[in-house]
Amino acid sequence: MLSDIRYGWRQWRQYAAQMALLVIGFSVFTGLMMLCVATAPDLFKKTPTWVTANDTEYVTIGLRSHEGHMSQTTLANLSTVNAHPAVKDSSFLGTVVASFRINDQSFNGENVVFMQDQLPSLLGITAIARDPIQFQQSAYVSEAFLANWQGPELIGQTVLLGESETPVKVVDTIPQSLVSQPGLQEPVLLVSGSHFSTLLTVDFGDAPLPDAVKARARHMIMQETPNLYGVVTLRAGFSSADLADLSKGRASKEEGISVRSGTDSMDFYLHQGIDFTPHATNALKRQWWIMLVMCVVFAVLNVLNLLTLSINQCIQRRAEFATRVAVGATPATIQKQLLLEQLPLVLTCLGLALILTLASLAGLVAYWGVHIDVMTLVLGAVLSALVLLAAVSLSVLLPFSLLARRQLFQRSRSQEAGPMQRRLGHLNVVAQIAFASLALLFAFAMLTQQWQLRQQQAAAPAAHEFSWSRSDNVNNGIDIKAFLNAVDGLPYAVAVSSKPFANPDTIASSVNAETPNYDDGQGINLISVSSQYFDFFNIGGGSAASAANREGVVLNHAALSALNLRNSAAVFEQRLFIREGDELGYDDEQPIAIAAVVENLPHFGFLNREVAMIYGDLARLHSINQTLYLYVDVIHAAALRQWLQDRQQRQGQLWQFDDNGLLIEQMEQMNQDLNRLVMVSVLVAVLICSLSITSLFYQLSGLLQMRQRRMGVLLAVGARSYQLFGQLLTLLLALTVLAMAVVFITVTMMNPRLSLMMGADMLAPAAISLMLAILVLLLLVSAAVAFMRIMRRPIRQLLQ
Amino acid sequence: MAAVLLKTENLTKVFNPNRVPVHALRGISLTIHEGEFVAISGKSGCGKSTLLSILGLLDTPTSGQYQLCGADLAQLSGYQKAALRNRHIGWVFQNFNLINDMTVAENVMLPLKYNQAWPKSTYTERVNKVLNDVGLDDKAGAYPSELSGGQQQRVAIARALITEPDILLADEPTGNLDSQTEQAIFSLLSDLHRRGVTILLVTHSRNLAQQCQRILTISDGTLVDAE
Repeated sequence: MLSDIRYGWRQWRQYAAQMALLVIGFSVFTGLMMLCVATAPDLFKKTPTWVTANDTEYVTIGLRSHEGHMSQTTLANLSTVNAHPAVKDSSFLGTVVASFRINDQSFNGENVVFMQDQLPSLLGITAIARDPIQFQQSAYVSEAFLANWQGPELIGQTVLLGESETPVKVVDTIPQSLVSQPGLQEPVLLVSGSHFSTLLTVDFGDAPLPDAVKARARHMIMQETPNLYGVVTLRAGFSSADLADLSKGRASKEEGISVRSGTDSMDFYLHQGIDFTPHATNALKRQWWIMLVMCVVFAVLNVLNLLTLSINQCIQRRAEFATRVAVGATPATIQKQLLLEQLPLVLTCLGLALILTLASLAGLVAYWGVHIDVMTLVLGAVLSALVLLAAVSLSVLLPFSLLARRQLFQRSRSQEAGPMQRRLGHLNVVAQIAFASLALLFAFAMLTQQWQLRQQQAAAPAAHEFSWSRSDNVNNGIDIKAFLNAVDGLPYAVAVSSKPFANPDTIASSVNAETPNYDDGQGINLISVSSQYFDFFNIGGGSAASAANREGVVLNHAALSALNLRNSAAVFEQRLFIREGDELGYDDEQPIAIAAVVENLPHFGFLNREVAMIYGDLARLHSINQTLYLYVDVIHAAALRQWLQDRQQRQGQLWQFDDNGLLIEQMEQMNQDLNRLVMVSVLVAVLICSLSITSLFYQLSGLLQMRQRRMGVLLAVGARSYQLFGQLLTLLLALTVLAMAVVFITVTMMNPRLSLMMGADMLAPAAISLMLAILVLLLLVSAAVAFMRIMRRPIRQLLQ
Repeated sequence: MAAVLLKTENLTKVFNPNRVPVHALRGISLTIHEGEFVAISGKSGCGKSTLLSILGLLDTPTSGQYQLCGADLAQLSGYQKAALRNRHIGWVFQNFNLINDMTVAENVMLPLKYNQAWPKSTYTERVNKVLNDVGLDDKAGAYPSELSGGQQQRVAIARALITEPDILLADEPTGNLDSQTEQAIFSLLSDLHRRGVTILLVTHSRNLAQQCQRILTISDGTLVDAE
């Protein structure tokens, strides 16, 4: 057995480069498969790991945001859900920013998670008290809070919640799996949902209201504040589809008190299972599928490579096999020997794959937030090893069984490839060209996108950002008109906006171009800007938009497209209805004119050209409670800083300004995640591409090897080498055309999804042109080098 | 006396010159005239096939001079050698070297594709003629795998004759054939010789060699005897 392995090792040393290529390819495939198998159970489970109850008929209830995502709902809405005949049990879980006190230490603005008392037993959360009375008196703190706690032993201490200082006792830490639950802001404290009202901070200002009114108002606010997710179990015979007829209750209104929130117009979002961020989970699942597709791509690529190598080896070793058979070996013993020869390859790949998996696992777990146990990982490793063994066995045994066994003793076919081998070889070349093209196309699409985004950076290379705000965020806020008048008096250009340029953090508002029917509206971002904004950022078409006293809002081209107004001749006669029109200083359901149209944003990165924007006139807003953002050329930054400083000193310490630095640096910072994603994608693409190109070269060499006797015959009867090279190129051209057909069908199918996920357009002319140019160059060079290697041999040798 | 067709002087061939050198040919000088039927004979591994490969421009000598049809081979480029091979030499190999996925007619036609002297309209006529010459005119559409060894060698001879070369080089043409077929192939070659074709035949069969006009015997890379 050892001698067979040693013999195999010697065989492999003859093909060191191909061996190295196979090791890399099979290792990446095995590593990816281990990751896929290890992460799948948790990712595709309907409930998070902290849910141990065996009931799978859970439905998570939230509200559908304008973007179509699940967002938190209200107690009032959940009351409607409870009354539904399909609902057996219901409970809720939510977060609130609240204050509490432990001993003499006060904690303000901390994230607190609250759960309705029956939720722990409903979901089988073992680490939390299931007895409602006990749970109501308990508090759980985060590990981080416990670690930073300075004082006597925290467990057992009394926590006083909210303004009413309701006492609860710290009994334990919050289970880690619950802390890192996507959709819930990382909490420092977990308490019973019965304390929800206590935790709400309601500021009635200086209004002289009776306590009874305040209590009613507080209760109503608690009912209407979207802070929580509902979790229900269904009665037997019902499914989540039966909840589709749920309708929300009307907003609370009582004795002159009415509570309205931004969620009034939102519908229910029902998700079978327990997941507070189904859109994020779906995005992770899509990434998992991409990883699986890559795994399959690597598998196919490497099986093809090994198959090619095995075919070539079978042809070359036919005499050796014949000798072995002649001296008593059976086909079975030769097959066993061939398998043993692959052991060094398999073991090396498994070792490398394990290292690769373990190295990337921690990052993947942190990025995806999945839970992986050791048994799943071992199962993944065993499954991957079995698949690897199957792939290698298939690649090695198939050529021997199909080609070598039947022709061992046919002298006339000694070194010549038969039609089947040649067809396999052609198929392999088509596959390699297709994979290489796809990888190149993907890499170039990503690079083109990144390059285009970089090009947009030039819009405001020297812009410096300051923010001006009132630190208590209450009362009258900033008097916009007075502020803008003061800014206009400055001897240099200053642009002002209601939201930061690099990260406007706008919630897309529903906009309709015809009626105030917001259900059919488009999600478009709103921002108020000063008249100098467009010129300052050099946004095309901005001069019309900058005109003073303009009536109406300014749309960018993306917003025009979203509203289907792109081809409308009478754009400026249209009236818009904007649900959150008050953000721009308009009344509800007020028809708003379109004053101008500007180019898309010059931003790059997450906030890119495709984002639909509606710009309002900042001067329309009388005051703003939050922050204004000021932009000035970097050469005037010191002057503006001094002006703001003087203003702060004149107006008092409640006013503050921040120097946010160069815009370009902020945008670079914000784009780091995208850059990392692009980098990883490009690296993967380059790896697949290198593998494909290298194996394409070996495949071409193999193809020529199979044709070498034919080439020898042609040369012997007088063919010129360029004529043979021409034949090779003609063959390659035919195979490339076939591969391109496969590539373009595949890309056409996957491009829309990829564009959505990565923002990369694989059908962009620049990406296609670059791919074709590089592919043709690589094919020519590979073919020429492989051809020259064959042609260096004397014709006599080719004929042997 | 007929004109000189090929002439070598002090031809040597060394394999692996940088590692363990193997001297395949050691100073071969010979002359072949038009219309001759010459056998090159010797034991296995003596250098017969290496010499024939060099004479047929399938390999290059390590040193020495070689003239074919008046041209000094040392002065010729690869393309010029290919043209010479195509127009002046016909090759017949021991293992036939037919292309298995081409029909007999296509195999025979192959040299014409690299020879612009023959118009395309004459291809079929030429193929039929040479196939008729070798007695295979009914096998034009067959594939090599459907033919016997002797028939395959006849196809190889037809392919060698299609461009009407000045010299036919046959490297053990009967090495893979039984004695009856061997004699038939040799008869065909003799017939061709009688029709004026110059033939250089490598064989280890003393019997066949003795039926040729002249025998060159090689031993250990050296020409030891010329009868």
